[in-house]
Formats: sequence, C-alpha cells, structure tokens
Amino acid sequence: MRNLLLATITFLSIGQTAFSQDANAILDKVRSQFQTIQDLRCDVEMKFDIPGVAIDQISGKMIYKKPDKFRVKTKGLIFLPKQNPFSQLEILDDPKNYMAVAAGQAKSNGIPCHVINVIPTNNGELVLMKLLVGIQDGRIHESELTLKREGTVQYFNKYASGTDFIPTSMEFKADFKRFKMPKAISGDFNSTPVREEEGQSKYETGRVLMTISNLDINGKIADAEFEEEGS
Amino acid sequence: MIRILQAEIIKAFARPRSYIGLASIVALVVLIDTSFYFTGKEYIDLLFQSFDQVFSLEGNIINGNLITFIILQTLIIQLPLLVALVTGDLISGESALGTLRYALTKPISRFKFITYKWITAMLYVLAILILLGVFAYLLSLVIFGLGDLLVLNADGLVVIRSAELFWRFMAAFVFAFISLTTVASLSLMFSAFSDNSIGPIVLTMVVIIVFTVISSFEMSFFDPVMPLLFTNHMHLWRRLFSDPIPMTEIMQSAGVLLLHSAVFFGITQYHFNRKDIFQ
Repeated sequence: MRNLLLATITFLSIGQTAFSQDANAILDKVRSQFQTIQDLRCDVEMKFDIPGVAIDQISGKMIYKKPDKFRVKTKGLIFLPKQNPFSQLEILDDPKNYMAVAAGQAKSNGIPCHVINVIPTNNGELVLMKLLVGIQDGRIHESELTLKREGTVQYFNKYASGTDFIPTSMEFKADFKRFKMPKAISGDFNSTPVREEEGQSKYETGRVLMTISNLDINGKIADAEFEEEGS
Repeated sequence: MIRILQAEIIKAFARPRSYIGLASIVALVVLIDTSFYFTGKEYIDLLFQSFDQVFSLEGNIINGNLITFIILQTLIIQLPLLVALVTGDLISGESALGTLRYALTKPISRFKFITYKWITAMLYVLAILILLGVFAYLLSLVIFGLGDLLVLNADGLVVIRSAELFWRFMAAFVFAFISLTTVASLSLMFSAFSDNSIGPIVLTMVVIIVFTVISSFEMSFFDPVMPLLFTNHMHLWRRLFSDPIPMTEIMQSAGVLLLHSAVFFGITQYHFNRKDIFQ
C-alpha cells in the first residue's frame, strides 16, 4: 500500500514538473517576442458595448511604453479597461513572479491553443491568469485575468498577419454591477422606473473593442506624452 | 398700446424683487463653477463608482458643457420659484397696493391689460433664461473648456460628443422657456384671484414642490397621475440629451405645457374680466 502511495506521489510530481516545464517553455516564446518591444504607437478605433452606456465609437492614438505606461489619446471621452491591454504580457516579463501550469489544449476562435494557467507568486492584484497561446504561432489569443478588486476580465485578440505579435484587434470583456441611480440624484425624473425581476442577475457584461492600425514599434515615446494635458 | 406695455415692463423691472432671481442665478452659477473647480472630481467619482470597478473613464470629464448641464439641471428646479416670486405679484401686488383700479382707468380693455401682464411675465422669464444661458455657458466654458458631455440617467450614462452639444443646449433653453411660461401663467392666474402679494407666490411654490416630490417618487402607485402633472413634463428638456432623441415625446410634452399655459391664461382672463376691482 505504502509503495503504491509513493509511486502515485512520484508520478504526480514528475507530471507536475513536466507540465510546468512545458508551460514555461511556451511562455518563454511569448516573453521573447514581447521583449523586442519597448515603445509602441498606433491608431486605434474604439467601439463600446456597455449595457447602460450610450457612447459612439471614436478613433485616436494608442501609445505604450515599457514597463507599464499606457494611454489612449482621443478628442472625446472613452471607456477603457482598468487593466491596460498589455498587462498580461507585462506579468510574463519576470518569470520569478509567477508559476506556470499547462492545462491542456483548447480552441480560440477556431485556432488550436495551449491553455496555460499563470499563478502569481507575489502578493499583487492578480490572483490567476489563464492564457490561450497559439500552438503554431506562440501568440496570446485569449486571456482571462482574475483580479482581487475587479473580478474576472477577459481579452480576445485577433491578428491580421501570421507574424505580427501585436494584435490588430483586442476585445475586452468584463462583468460589472448593473448601473442604477435614484432619480433624486440623477435628476432624471421622466425615466421609466427600472424594476428588477426576481432572480435577475445584478451583473451585466460590458465589451470594449480596440482595432489597431498604423503600428509603429520602438519609435521613441517621451514620458510626457503619457501625462494628461493640463494636469 | 406699446407705451402701456413699456409701462408694465418698467413697473415689473423697477421692483427690487425682480433682481433677486437674477442675482441668485449669478451667485449659484459662480458657486457651482467654483465647487466643481475644487471638488468636481470627487463628485464624478461618486457618480461613476458602479463602472469604476472594471472601466476607467478617460478624457476631459469635467468640462464647460458638463457644468452647464449640471447648472441647468440644478436650477431648473429652482427657477420656477424665482419666476413665481415676480410673476405671482404682477396683478395681486397692484391689487394690494390699490393701484389696480387706477391702472384700469386707462383706455384699455381688461383683456389687453392681462395680456400685457402676461407678456411682461414672459419677458421676465426670457431675461432669466438669457442670463442663465449666457452666464452659465460662457463662464463654464472659460473655466473648464470644451469637452464631451456625460449625462447621468437613472438607468445608465449617455456620452454626447462636443460637436453635437450647442444646438442641444439651445433647444433645451427653448424647452425651459416653454416650461417656465407654464409656471409664469400659473402664478399669474393665482395672482388674478388674490388681493395680496404673498398668497399667489406661496401657492405656486406649493404646487410645484408637491408635484415635483410626486414626480421623484419611484413607486408604481403614482404612475397613473404622472402624465397629468405639468412638472413631470418640465423635466423633458433632459431628453434632448438622450441618444436617440425621443422627439415625439418631447414635442408632446411641449404641447402639454403650452396647453397648460393657454388654460391658465384663459382662466386668468375669464376671472379678471368678472373681477370686482373696487372691493
């Protein structure tokens, strides 16, 4: 009986190590591609599908600079995910900060992918990250981040060419508590009262689609560009 | 005839109370602009906390358009009271002072007399709105600059791009004029029934406060009476900042308000024509 138990533990340990090694090897490829990027500038068109929010699509410029500077410049108001779209890549930058575990294979938008669970070892905001990395191209096609404060958020990436590392479209998806404001505060006395049905979820799913074009990688971006005008 | 109208206008604007409303608008606009300049971000964060968990709103949120909208939204509740302060006194004030009988010794019909009083009331409403519009809009734009408008509704948010806002504000001020016309007509009607200055003003305020409180309740019990309350239609200016704009609903409400004004004006004329001014 003892021999059987020892054999099982040994088998599981070897299996776990093998999975980790596989996962780390996959993430190494992703990291090495991301390491070639220091600064990024592109045009971006943003579309919003957020329940309770009526907002037109808008275009602007997106800039990113390592380690974590990110900004979208537009002439109007926009909704942005709290986590910048490159945050999942930033986490991978230092392998000491996480543990990677392979969790099989799955398809993202018809593309076969490795499923890798990334468990942070530091005590940061991220609790768990699930990445779907393309088997053929080694690029992130989908990511699901479980965060302490924000809950679970997802990114869906699409690539126009077979070689680009930066996606041509990034769709951000997250659940948030349904917006409801008393009339006395909003001043909206003429709205039809919103009465929740029994069993109706208090949460709704919001999406932000960012379509990228005119990509300029590693053209110098000054830190001042990330500061708000007038601030 | 023009001279009689001019005399009515001079009488109305010669009273110190006519400037209480105008002065309070200037003071409130300055106060709101100042408070937003120093603590506007806290206010926006409070309103936005439902989305704040996963989304951040980027851009010049606190801008001149938003502040003008907030000023309009805040003051639209108080403006009827300021209007009533002057228009509720137009007939009853003269009656209380004993000048009504002297005014009617002029070669003018009672119908025309009331019509001139009504026109004077409308001009006062117009003066208040022009002051509010010009002062609030210009001061806020100078301090906070241009930007998209974030409109907070009971069930969500609407972001209106800056380029679309000027005509919407103009339309909102026209709608506000129609709304305040109803209030001015109501207070003028009460004024025709009364022989003291305070009664019509207080009565107009009571009607507006009671109707507004009922409008703000979210209980289904009040749903059937909502369309009958003219104050409920007065808030429809806000729908001009919706996307899409419910034009039919807005036009219907404007029609209801104009109908109210016509009815109040008609009752005023009917009563005043039979009023014993020698008592």
